Amino acid sequence: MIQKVLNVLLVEDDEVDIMNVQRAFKKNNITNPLFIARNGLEALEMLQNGKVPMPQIIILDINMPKMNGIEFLKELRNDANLKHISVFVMTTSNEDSDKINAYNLNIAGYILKPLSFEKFITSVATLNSYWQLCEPPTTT
Amino acid sequence: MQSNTEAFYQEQLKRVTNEFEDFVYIVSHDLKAPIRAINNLSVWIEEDLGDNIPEDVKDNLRLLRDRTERMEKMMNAILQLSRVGRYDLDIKPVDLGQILDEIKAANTAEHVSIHIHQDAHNQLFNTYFKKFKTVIEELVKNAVIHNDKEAVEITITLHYPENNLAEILVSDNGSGISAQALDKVFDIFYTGKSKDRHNTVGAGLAISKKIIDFIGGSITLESSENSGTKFLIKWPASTN
Repeated sequence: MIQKVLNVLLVEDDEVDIMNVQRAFKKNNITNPLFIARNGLEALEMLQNGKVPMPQIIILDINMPKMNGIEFLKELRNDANLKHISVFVMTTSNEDSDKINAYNLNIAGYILKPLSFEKFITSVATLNSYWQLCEPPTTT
Repeated sequence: MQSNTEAFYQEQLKRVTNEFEDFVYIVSHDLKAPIRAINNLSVWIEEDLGDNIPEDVKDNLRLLRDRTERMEKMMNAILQLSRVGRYDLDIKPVDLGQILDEIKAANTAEHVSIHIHQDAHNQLFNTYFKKFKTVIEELVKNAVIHNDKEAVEITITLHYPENNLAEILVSDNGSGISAQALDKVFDIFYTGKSKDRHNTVGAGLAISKKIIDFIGGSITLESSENSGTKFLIKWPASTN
């Protein structure tokens, strides 16, 4: 089987949370290239101007400055070149309204940031095996 | 004129209450992020130091994590407290006795026995059934935590003396509450003994009291040291 190389874009403003994802990737031998944007606006610019290779997966925080996760999702789904990207929301917000808004914008999953690092690693490992099983859309 | 002024103040009160609850929600929610970061960083420090960490450093790291976990529990309790007026608001006809049986069935601790007496078998009551369950669960939890006996005995009596008000008596054979502490047990984060000794943050009774105030019932208690505790709840529940 050919190992699929999926690019991942992490949209997250908290430095420790970024380290969290990076360490979880390393611990699980997830070698997918990981790109980082610090808020929705920055992510959108990076994607629209081709500053990063087209990611198949976006891991998205909700509470961020400038453009929050839900606003970013709306822009993403309105952009013909970007709307196919799978988005996993990874947030501390347990609000029903955030979950409903996010799923209405066609997200692949909604993960609550747990306090425990172990639980977080399990979430990332699950995401990775999911993408090993699934056939991603071909991107141009 | 009089009623206009009253309506104005009622409106003010409602607005301030909503603002307060929003504030509590946002603050406790946003404070969780730095707590989580501290927890993560302490795990990483330990990992990065490798195998040669002195025991006392390990102990301190363990204590650090233990305290961040406690703080998260406290944040969750504040959140739960702020949500009493807006969550679990469904009212439907339910058999309160059946809810008690479910709580009893969910108790898997072998040293804990729950006895249920009721004179309202198979009777349906219109009430906030989810809130009812929360309160009884918290009282049972409380009875188990504050008990120094080898065998924990909890008795729950459901009685329906008059229309629209059920009475629930929850008593235990626990260590009881001293006279000085009686008026503090419903305070948020009050614990009778050190939080290190019992794995609790002391929020269950405060949340229960807030629920009971919200639905217009009452909760009183009788206790003295070493003689167990009895909680009497008057719970609005109508049969029509």
